[in-house]
Amino acid sequence: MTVRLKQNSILLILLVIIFIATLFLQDRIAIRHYAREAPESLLYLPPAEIAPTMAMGYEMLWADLNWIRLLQYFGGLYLTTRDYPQIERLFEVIFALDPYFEDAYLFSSLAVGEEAEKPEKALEFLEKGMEHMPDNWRLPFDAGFLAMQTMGDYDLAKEYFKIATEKPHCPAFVYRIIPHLETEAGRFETALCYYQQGLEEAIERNDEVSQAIYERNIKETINKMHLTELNEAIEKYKEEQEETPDTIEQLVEEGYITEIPEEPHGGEYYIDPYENISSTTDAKQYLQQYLQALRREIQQYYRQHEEYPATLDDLGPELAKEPFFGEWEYDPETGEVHSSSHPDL
Amino acid sequence: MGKVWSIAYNTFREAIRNRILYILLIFAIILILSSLVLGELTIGQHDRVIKDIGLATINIFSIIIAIFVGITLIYSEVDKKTIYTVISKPIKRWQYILGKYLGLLGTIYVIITLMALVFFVLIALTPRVSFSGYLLLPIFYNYLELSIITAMAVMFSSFTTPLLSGVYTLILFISGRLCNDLGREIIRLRARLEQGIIPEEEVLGEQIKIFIMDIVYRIIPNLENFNVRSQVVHAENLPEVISVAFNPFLIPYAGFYSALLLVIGIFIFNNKNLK
Repeated sequence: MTVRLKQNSILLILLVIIFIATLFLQDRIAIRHYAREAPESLLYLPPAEIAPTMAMGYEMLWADLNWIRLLQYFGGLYLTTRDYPQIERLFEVIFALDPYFEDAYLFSSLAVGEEAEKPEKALEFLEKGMEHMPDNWRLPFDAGFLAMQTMGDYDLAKEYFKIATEKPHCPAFVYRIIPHLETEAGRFETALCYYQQGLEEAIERNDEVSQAIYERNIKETINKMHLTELNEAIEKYKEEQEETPDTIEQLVEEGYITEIPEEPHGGEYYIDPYENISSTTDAKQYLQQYLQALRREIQQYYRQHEEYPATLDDLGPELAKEPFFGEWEYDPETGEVHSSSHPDL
Repeated sequence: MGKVWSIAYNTFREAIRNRILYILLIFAIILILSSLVLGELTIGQHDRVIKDIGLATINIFSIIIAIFVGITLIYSEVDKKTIYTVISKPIKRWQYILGKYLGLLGTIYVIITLMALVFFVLIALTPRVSFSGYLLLPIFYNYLELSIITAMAVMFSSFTTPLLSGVYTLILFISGRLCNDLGREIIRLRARLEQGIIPEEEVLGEQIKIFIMDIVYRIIPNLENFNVRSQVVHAENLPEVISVAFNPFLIPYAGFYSALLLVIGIFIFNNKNLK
């Protein structure tokens, strides 16, 4: 063996040993790194005001890298503490670097507004986006959604949705949200005006799909309006008479309402077992959904155990109870289930 | 001009033999390709990340190459005394500087074109990423910006050592990139002055400050003008790109500024004692 070959062999062995040692150390470092709290790694974030200057013409690149960093930060904490102390700062830097970053604005609504429970800050971000992208409908739509869903401020939500509808390419469903908000706020008449206007426009342009949707919306709003009025009347009755009426007609007889309104879906209004007034259509719809869920559970049980449950109690106490105080008619041989209160379903 | 082209051609041949060039080119291509991995780490921004990283990489690496190769260009010939073989021939010094500049610029343009080709092939082959012709605009502006940066490097190389030349070019480059910030600061200070919120005894000092800043703003090359990457990546159609990102005055601006730097370089080199 020549001297050179010998030296090379030693070097090769050394190389392998060092490489293995490096790999081992890398693993140790990684374990320590992930065990650390994520916010520490964000201490190096520059202030948003000077970030564009520091980027020196590579604002988009830095915005992208910070965006990836934000997603990792959010994802990491979402799986652990679900507390995001640095998320606003990260968004501020990203928006300072790229004020036209649409997806980041939309994500701020979810991450800051809903997840970090700071909807006001998220609205601030969305407003900033709206300033830079005045033709974008998604930003005011998201702001409206945030105001409606997270803040429960229907008036504020309506303002944002109205802004969204004024933008080009705003889809039709956004227009229908405004009357929905009016319904939620109890302003049924205003909601009906919006729906009626939408219906007339749909008829004018021969849009049968929208026409059907508006007709359904009108019926649902009328139904909600009737139920609100009837339930207010029954509450007043209970308060004054100190008992629950046996039938809905008693409300007319005692002068709490002038007449029983017509149920717009073709059903009837009745006093349900919870002593509230409900619609038979709503009840049927609810029971149908309940039955579908129950049947899915039975099938899943069958797939897991290769037999149907002996009784519905095997699926848990919640599902075993018929929601309208009736009985489930269940056959453990076939797995079929029906309700005694609505046998046709 | 024949002599200038001969020097340019030889400079080009010499430059493309430089190994540093290939190492940087390989790094640039790796970085462009790495945008694929980074793109996967985002949500719904695959397209944007690939384009941003690709365009920024092409820009950064072409600038690094221009500075690295440019700063040694003339000094090394003076240092190795190979310059005597050239200037002993009937070649004027301005022809030598211009030839060197064009040769280096040609090398850098070839490198940019290669990186751009890799970038466009990557875009064309990546699903979910749309190729648009207007991505050529930032590449074209990159060529223009590099004509100024190369002229800077050649100018400094004509009278100082590579280290100092590199430092000077880098400072001028950074100043050029911060030019718009300086412009915004001047506007802000002027507005403060007009609003009358500055105490009377400080007004003169403030005016002198603005005057000096204004001179600096006008002297240093505004390299930020060539940065249209953001507008192009955000733009949705060609008319939008043209309206927000295209400025025909940038072509003569790049030409005049490069010429200005070269004339300064030639002036210094002409008066340099090479004996």
